[in-house]
Amino acid sequence: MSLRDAVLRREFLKLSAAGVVGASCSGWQLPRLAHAAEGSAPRRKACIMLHMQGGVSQHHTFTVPEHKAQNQQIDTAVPGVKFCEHFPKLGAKMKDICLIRGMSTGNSVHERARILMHTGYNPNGTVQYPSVGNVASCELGVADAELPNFVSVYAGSDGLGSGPLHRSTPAYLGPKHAPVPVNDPAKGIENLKTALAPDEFDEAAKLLVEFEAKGQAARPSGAAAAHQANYKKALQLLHSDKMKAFDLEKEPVATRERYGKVQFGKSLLLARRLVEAGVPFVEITLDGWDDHGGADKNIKRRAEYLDPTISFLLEDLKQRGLLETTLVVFMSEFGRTPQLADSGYNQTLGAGHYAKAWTTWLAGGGVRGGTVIGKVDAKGGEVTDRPVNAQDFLATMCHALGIDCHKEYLSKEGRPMTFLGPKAEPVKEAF
Amino acid sequence: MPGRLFAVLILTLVPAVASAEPKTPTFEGDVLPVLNAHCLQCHGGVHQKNGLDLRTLPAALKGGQSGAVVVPGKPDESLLWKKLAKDEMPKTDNKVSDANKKLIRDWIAAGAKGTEKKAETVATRPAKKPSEVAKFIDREIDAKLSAAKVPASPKADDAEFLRRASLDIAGKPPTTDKAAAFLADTSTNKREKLIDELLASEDYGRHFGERWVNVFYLTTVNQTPKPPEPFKEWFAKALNEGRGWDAITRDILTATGPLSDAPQGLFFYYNGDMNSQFAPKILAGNIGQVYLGVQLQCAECHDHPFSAWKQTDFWSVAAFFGQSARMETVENKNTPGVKERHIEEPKPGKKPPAPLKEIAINIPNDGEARNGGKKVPAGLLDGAKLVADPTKSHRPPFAEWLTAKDNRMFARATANRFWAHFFGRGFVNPLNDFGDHNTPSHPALLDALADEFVASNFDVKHLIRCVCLSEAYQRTSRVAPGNEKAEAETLFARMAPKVLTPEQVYDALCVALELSEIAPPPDPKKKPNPKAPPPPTPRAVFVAAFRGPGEADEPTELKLGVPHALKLMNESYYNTSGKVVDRVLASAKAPTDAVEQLFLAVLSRKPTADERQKFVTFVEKQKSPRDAYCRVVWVLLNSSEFMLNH
Repeated sequence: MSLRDAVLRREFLKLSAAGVVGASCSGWQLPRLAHAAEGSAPRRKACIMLHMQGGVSQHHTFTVPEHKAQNQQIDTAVPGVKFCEHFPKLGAKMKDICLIRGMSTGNSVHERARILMHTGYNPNGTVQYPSVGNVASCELGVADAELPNFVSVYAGSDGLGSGPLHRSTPAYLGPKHAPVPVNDPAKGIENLKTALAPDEFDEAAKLLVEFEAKGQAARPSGAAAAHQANYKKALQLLHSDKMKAFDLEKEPVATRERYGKVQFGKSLLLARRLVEAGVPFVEITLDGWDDHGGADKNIKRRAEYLDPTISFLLEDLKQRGLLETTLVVFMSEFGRTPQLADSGYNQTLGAGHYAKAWTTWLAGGGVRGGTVIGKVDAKGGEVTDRPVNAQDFLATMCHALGIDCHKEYLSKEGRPMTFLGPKAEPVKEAF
Repeated sequence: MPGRLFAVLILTLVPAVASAEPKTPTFEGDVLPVLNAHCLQCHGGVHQKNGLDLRTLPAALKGGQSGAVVVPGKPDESLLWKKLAKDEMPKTDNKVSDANKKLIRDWIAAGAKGTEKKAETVATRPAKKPSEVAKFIDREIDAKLSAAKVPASPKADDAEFLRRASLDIAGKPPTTDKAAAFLADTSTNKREKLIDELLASEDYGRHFGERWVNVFYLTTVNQTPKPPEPFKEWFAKALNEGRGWDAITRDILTATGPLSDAPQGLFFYYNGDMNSQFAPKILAGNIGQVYLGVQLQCAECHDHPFSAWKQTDFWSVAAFFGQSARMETVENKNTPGVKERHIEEPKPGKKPPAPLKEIAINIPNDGEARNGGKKVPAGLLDGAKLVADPTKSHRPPFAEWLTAKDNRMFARATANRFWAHFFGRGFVNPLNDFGDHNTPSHPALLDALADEFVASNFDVKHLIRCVCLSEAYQRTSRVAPGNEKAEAETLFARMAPKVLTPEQVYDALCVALELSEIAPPPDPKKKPNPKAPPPPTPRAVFVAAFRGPGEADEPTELKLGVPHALKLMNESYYNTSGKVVDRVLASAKAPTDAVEQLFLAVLSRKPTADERQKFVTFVEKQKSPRDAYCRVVWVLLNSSEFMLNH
């Protein structure tokens, strides 16, 4: 499709949007009737992406090196596969986990690498690329769902910050695929409480709806239609039972305790509740992993809540029959340096950024559990078998989610774009 | 549906068809759009399968490895026709429609002609009177409308015009007093007076300065860009002093020295890379898009896929910026600013670097672009001879060429941008994609405005007066019978509603609520930290929360989402605070009067009879007048009428 066709299509969409102004307004007050037919269709795929911002040391988590390790290795549920001693509970879940030990991504600058690991491209300043979450919103989301199709949860910072919080941008997919941010999982989406009592609010909202319908009928425009669609959705949200998904207090105390009191655990619980309610993509960002002073102590501290809560998330999803359709991804922008020298800065395992050989894992969503893909050498500095780059990693996520990563979209400039490049291929061994 | 689509196609894409007399189809005006849609992916700048390049008429006539594909006058002997007729091409499912096939056949039959390029003349005449130019604008617009048989909407009423012109020129709606006075004014030239008043206000420069700085600030890839306020202030001052657009542009592109003296140097910081180092390739791309209106950046890594730009064209522009760098980097001091690497102050005991012999840049050898490592000398895009001393700053010769009166690309791209500021769309859309593949909707009008801009020595206020005095600008955004369809907007039959920028929303809230600033209540738990840097202004906080991606390029598309609707609905300090309710409580004698005053304060108009009745009924049902008036303000502020400049 050319630029001109794109412009045409846009004009045409505006036209049809303008034509339905009256109809959409009349629907404002009926949010509860909207989702009567939902629930019968087979469950769609969903993804919970655990984005560890700052760079996770593989040496202190899931790929302990043979050479000069700082921690003991422990057995997992799969014979021969060993984790760092800080993660016994996740180790017990290894039968659900597919470990990728040969991540080799080539970019070790925080912001740039984060963009690479989310979009598949190093930022070049000219073209903007969407992240995997935006693509999932576009491909798995329901256009008129009450709940957002992509929620991005900030799980706090535990350690050294490494630049601004990564937020995915929808680029050519358009603003409706932007993530809805949640800055505090305990509070959920902001501004969901009205200043007025419900009946007073509804009365004022009714006047607004009538004012809109009358006033804008004479002036149909795509912008007015979009404004009305936003307000319709916002009013739906205010009235929706589905918003209970954001209310962690609705969860039984016993379950809440398993996820713990830390913001990260609450974020996991929120993600599970959202996926259960039909949200296709939830990204959780835990900042603070830039362990330049050494990763050992910091990861031991974080593992105290990461290990029990992430393992419980897998268990919880499984018990609810959601693990088969829910892909859980543990990733970062890069790994940390192996011990490169016997003295100086590079002597401390995990002190520096390292994109050449690091570890991620996937679980659920049809991924083959109990699998280890790729090998590294004794120091953990080189991938000796099955390197995986950012594009292939994202293609693997797409494959698990049933998303065609080569599907063509059209940029505003009329340039045909695909999420990933022609060479991107899913890691087949993961399925 | 297809019939309707096709009607849009004819009207928006092939203006020649819409006019009364049949014209010979041309390559650029008629055929290229079709080729662009179906053929150039394989026979363009990136791929030239079978050696065939269809981007330009000479290349198309040259043919490919199978010989000529176009035999002028003989469609049945032309391979292009034969392949298209049988749907053998394109090989994708994206086949050419019968109407477009016929168009290509007719074009070949008529001799496979291109448009005749007239020699460009430079306007050496004095500027015309704005009212004369406005009349010309209307003649051109009306001619297209009558050819397309689309009726124009009537003139906007005074309130609609007042709010529109105030938002467009000064960035904010009128105050209640201003609105009341304007509506009561009975003089016949009050619209002209208003335009002059708005252009004379400080808000004019503030608004346009902010909009232009945002063009660069909002697209920067730098994650932590320096605050744009000094650049905005500099811009506002230049505009309010009436400095010519050419001079302002030169001031920006040649900014040298510390930012404290030359804040417009922030331009280079915003056109920097992720690490905030100045980036010649980003500069070339953005200067191409904004000041020349062309997608030069598509030629960064390879020749442009759809138009004739070559990779060397891109880098020959980038070459002018190869030596510009941050002062912090060059001088190793903490003073931000813009410097040239090859011009060093003589330092005692140090040998100065060997003087540069040429202005050139190497295409980076980073595996991203083709021809990595190749040296490209600086050059001017129109092929003009470059006379420059490589030992001096490379930027002035480029800036002189760019802003010269005979650089039609600059005049046209700028006139198109200013037009789009007022109408929500340009004659060429997207604004940064001029070329044979994308001809203007009103070519003669665009040329005339570009000429007038040049003749007035790039006087921005003059250009604005010309545009705002036209009937086209003063039409209502309401639909008139016969112009309901979206194509009416592309013909300027009625005004297209534009979405308020976040800055305009904030300023409009301040005007409506009659407050100088709207800030969230202070958090009592937070203790002030005297050492902390000053917090961002409430306006900056609001703007950051309401900023949507891409809003700068598509002023008629709403980029806000549900979180913004929730914020405006439920953050009470944005919508129920303010002095307006107190004032109305004190002065209104009856609910009717109160409703009228509140409409005027928030929407700069009086309610219709129907609205008055509905709102009065609502007011009378509420417990107290204060509650009632607060809720009326809430309703009006959350309406699309408030959020749009219609």
